[in-house]
Parts: sequence; structure tokens; C-alpha cells
Amino acid sequence: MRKIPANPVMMAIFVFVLVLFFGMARIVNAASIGISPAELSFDNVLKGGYAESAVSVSTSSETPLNFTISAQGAVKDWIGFEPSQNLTISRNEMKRVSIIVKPPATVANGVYTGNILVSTSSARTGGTGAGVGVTTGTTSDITVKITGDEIKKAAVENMEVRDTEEGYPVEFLISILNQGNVVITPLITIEISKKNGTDVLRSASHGETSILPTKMGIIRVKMGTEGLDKGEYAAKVGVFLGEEKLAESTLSFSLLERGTLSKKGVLQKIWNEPWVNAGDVVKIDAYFENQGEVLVSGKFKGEVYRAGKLVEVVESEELEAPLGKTIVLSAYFRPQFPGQYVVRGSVIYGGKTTETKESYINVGPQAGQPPADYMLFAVCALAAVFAAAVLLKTMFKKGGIKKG
Amino acid sequence: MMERKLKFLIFSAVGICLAFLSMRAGVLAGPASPLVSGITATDPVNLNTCSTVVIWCNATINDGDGWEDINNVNATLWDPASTAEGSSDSNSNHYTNSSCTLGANVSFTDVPANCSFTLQYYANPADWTCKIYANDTSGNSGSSFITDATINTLRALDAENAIDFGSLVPDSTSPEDANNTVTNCGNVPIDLNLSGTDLVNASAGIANISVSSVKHNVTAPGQDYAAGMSPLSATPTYANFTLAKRTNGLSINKTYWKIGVPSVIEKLIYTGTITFTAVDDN
Repeated sequence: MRKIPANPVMMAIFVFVLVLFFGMARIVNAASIGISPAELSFDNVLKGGYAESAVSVSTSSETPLNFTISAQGAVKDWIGFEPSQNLTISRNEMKRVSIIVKPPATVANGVYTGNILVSTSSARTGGTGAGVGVTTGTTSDITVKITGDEIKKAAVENMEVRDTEEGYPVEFLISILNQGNVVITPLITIEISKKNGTDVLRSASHGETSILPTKMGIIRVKMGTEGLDKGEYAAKVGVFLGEEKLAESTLSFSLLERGTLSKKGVLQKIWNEPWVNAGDVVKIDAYFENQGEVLVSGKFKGEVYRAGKLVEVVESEELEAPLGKTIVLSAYFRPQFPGQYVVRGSVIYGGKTTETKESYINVGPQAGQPPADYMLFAVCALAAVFAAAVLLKTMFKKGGIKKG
Repeated sequence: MMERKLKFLIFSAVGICLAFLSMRAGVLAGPASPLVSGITATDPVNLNTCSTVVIWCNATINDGDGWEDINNVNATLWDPASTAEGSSDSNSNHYTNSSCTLGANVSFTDVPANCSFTLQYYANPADWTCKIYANDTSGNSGSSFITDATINTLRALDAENAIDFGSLVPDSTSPEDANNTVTNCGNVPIDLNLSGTDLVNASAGIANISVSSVKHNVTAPGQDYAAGMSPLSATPTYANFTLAKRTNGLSINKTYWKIGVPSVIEKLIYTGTITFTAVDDN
């Protein structure tokens, strides 16, 4: 135990020195901190169930700042965080933290509240700096509605498949959001047939992947391709939750020759003069880029439509496209009649076909000839003038308009 | 009788001509107008404490004359609950981007447009509307919009890093307030939870300065230490501060502090911490 200084004057001097140090300390802002959203609501969480959401924690501090996160209130013991340790933010880097709710199975139905507290670390304690340091914190209010009713609900967000090569499996990716409050295990069924064919060549089902409530799950289903010929295939994919069919879609993929996937070409655009006259020859340019790893030869093939009807098929010469280069494949078309034409086409290269693209040709009347529409308009105008004259004459006869 | 038949024929001919011309006009219309479709936006938006965040509102622009005919794409983002589309820009509720970026065309007629907005931390929490306009070289234009771009609430604050109590002798209280200025760094009004620790020194053998010796008033300056101020506690205590979100200038308010020094205390440096926590404005 230390002794009290005997001399009150000396003691006052010592205290004065202490607070003078405070006075000289430069006052700057402490670390700012914020949380978004400032309210979190979990509806219809099942007793003993699971729900998840997220918050973003941010600061305007230029230097990295450590913070802690915790839960308070009636829901305190049900809340978990991911990540929960080594939490650092800076001005240009928000931190996303998952809020995981796991209420006990014994909790009564009802609405429970609390909050999420984030706090900056104490930086000025320890006796070497000014005496009263300031730390900051903020809160996000949390409401959890507990129910005993099971809700089974889900939505398919996306389905996709990628081309593959002979000997390799084909992979399907199905993204499903669990919108209910129980763990779900959707059933995926896949039937593969030749494109435009009806016979099912392969089929598979997958029902082993579980998805937690409020979470998005991406289910990957791989199917072997042994015994299938190379070519284009259609896969009918169905997603079921119990008896309910969540979604059904037909996806296309190609089974390619070994090494083909190293051949990759992209049709960037189809271009032509947008305004021409009937009888003109229109040059249709297809810009094809070789993005693959080998030299390929490509040919543009297009269909020309007018008013939804196919009027002509056009084709370019086959040309070689060097690696990484874009070549122009040209085809020619002579429209016979005025109107708007649509060119739809793709490039065929190395046994593959690019995505289909479009261009438009607006065709006016043949050059040098008065437009048929203008002539028709003149005839109509003459007819209208004549009609007006007849009307006037009739009215004069009946005395409807008095002269003078 | 003959005259009536003639009139009927003439008017029929005029009607047929006009109908035919109308149909032809549909086929041989002038340059196509741009079409805006497939708008997607950053959703929801979490704002950045006392800072900015960049968000996107994107769309596909179609022009029947070719995407290269599009010469400008611009966008407006606004909070329809508090302002109108044609209002001037405001960091709280209205932003414009006069020149959106066009990406690589996906066909002869279609091109993606990317419109960014740099949102301030005090942008209103609400469902905002994003409208994208496209103009082409022929002077035609088109637009489309979405109404559900959600900006989330942001509860945030900043405070000065220390409180200076000035010169004191034992058995006295602060003659003047020591201030600490708090800034609302979010987009919702805030109150405070205040808590602290004793002011201590590890070498102290007689006494420390207890946390309850530190007192505050978060609204009124110059209050009497004994009668007009609330003692700080180790347990967070609610203080009705009501600091509104920023609209124009910074949203700041001072808090007022005093300390009482025990009559018996050693000549040491005593340190402690005060924590300012932003809570819902009740």
C-alpha cells in the first residue's frame, strides 16, 4: 500500500501535471464504425431450426481497424457469427459477417428481440497515453419470430450445363434457394436424348444434397458419357421438392471430340449497311474471333427473314482464322422488295457452331423509280380532292352554303 | 341515285388507300428507337460509414439500326418517397449519371450499358427507382426503370478520441464542461448507449477514479456536476441524444462531461475508457 503524499501542495502540483498532459493531447476523431442493415428480421424460424442473414460492418478509418461482434438480449444465446474472429475493416474494405440463428428446440412460439453489437477495440488504455480514451460501437436490432410450423418452400434460381468431350462426364449445376424453415433435400432428375430426338439415352437422379433454411445451394450432378456418340444433346432437367415440381427445363450441350474444347471461336457481330434499296447487293460481314488454342477454319451461314418468313439462305467462303485474330466472313444478299429484313446466322468452325447473332436490313424502293408508296399516296390525295369537290358541289346544290 | 353510288365508291377508295398506307408505314418506318430492357441494380445496397460506396444499375440497350447508332445512355436514381425524377441532385435522395458506360456488344443490335452511382453514407434508406435512358444518333430515345433497388439502413457514428478534463486538484470537480463531439455517420437518426471503465493506474495503492465519478449530459451544456449530470456506468446506459441523419452539412452534436477527483489520491496517471455506442433513436 502506497502512502498518501504528505504535502497537499505537492499533491496538487502532481495532479496538475497529469491533467496538463491531457490538455496537450491532440483531440482527433476516434474510429468511426457502422453496421448495415440496422434491423434484421427472421420470420418463421422453426424451433430447433436454422436461419441465416448477413450484415456489413464499415469504417471511414484509413488504417485497418479491429472490431468485435456479439449478440445481446433474449436471442443472445442463439446467435452465431461467421467469421467471428480476426475481424478487420478499413475505409475501402467493408466486412460481411453472416448472422446465424439457431433457436433451441424447447423455446416457445413468439417474437424475440435483441441486438448485434459491434465495437472498436480499446486502443488508448494502459497508462501511456491520455487518461480517458474513447471507443465507439454500434448496433443492429434483431427480431426472431419462432414458430412450430414446418414450412417447406424453395425456388430454383438457375440451371446450367457445359459442353464436354468424349470420355469425360457432363456436369449440371442447379442453384436452389431454400425459402422455408426446414432443411430440404431436392430431387434432381435428368434425361438425356439426342437434340431433336425423343429416345432417352441416359437418365440419372440425385437426391443427396441438403440445403439449410434461407440458404442457396448449388447442386452439381455429373453424368458419364461413355457409349454416347459425339454430337449435340438435350437434357431434360426436373427439380422436385417432395411431390412438388419446382422447375423443369431442357438444356443443350455438345459432346465433342477429344481436344475440341481447345477450339474456341466467337462470333462478335454481324454487320451490314442498315439502309439500302431494293435490288442492291448487300454485303453481310460476320466478325469471327479465334479465342482457342489451335488454328481453325470458319464459315458463316445465315438465314434472311422478311416479315417472319425465310426468304434466303446466305453463306460465306470458308476461311482460316489465326490464333487470337478476328477475321471477316462475307456473304451477299440482294433484297427484291422493300421492307425490313433480319439476318440470323452463326459461324461453323472445327465441328462447332458459335452463338447465333442478328442484323437488320432496311430496304427502300428500288433506286431511280418513284416509290410505289408515294405514287399510291398521290392517287389517294387525288381521290380525296375529288371527294371534297363532289361534297362541295352537293352542298351548293342543296343551298347549304350561300354565295356572296 | 347515281351520285350517291359514286360518292360511296370514292370514299371507299380513300379509306382503303389510307388503311394501306398506314400498314406500309409500319414496315418502312424511319430509324428505330432504342429500347432499354433487363435492368438490374446492386440490391440491396449497404452504405459505407461516413464515406461513399459505388453501386451499379445496368441494362441492355437495343437499337434496330445497330448498337453503334446509340450515342448516349444516362440514368437517374432517386427515392420516390421524398423527391421526383426531375428534381435536382441531392446526396440524400437523387443521383444522376449523364454518361453510362457501354460494354461489348452482344449482337448487332444489343449492347450492355453500365451506370454507376457513388452514393453517400446518408442516402435515404428506402426502395429507390433506377431509370435508364438511351438516345441514338437520329434523336430517338427510349427508357425503362425498376422501382425496387433497396438501400439498407446504416447505423453509424464517430466521436473524438479523448476527453480533456483540464486542470484539477484533489477533492474537486470540473469547473467547466469537457466536450466530445459525436458525428452521425449513417442514414438513420441515432441515440447513444454510454459506458465506461474506472480511471486506473496499476501502481495506485490508495484509490482510483471510479467510473461513476465521470458524469455527462448529452443535450445541455453547463450543468451542475451534482444535480444536472448523469454518472457513467460500466453497464451501457441509454442516453436520449437524437442526432438526425445528415442532409446538407455534417450532422454533429456535442456531449458534455465533467469529472470528480477524490480527496485522497496519489500522484499518478489514471487511464480509462468511455464507449459511445449508436443505438436506435426511440
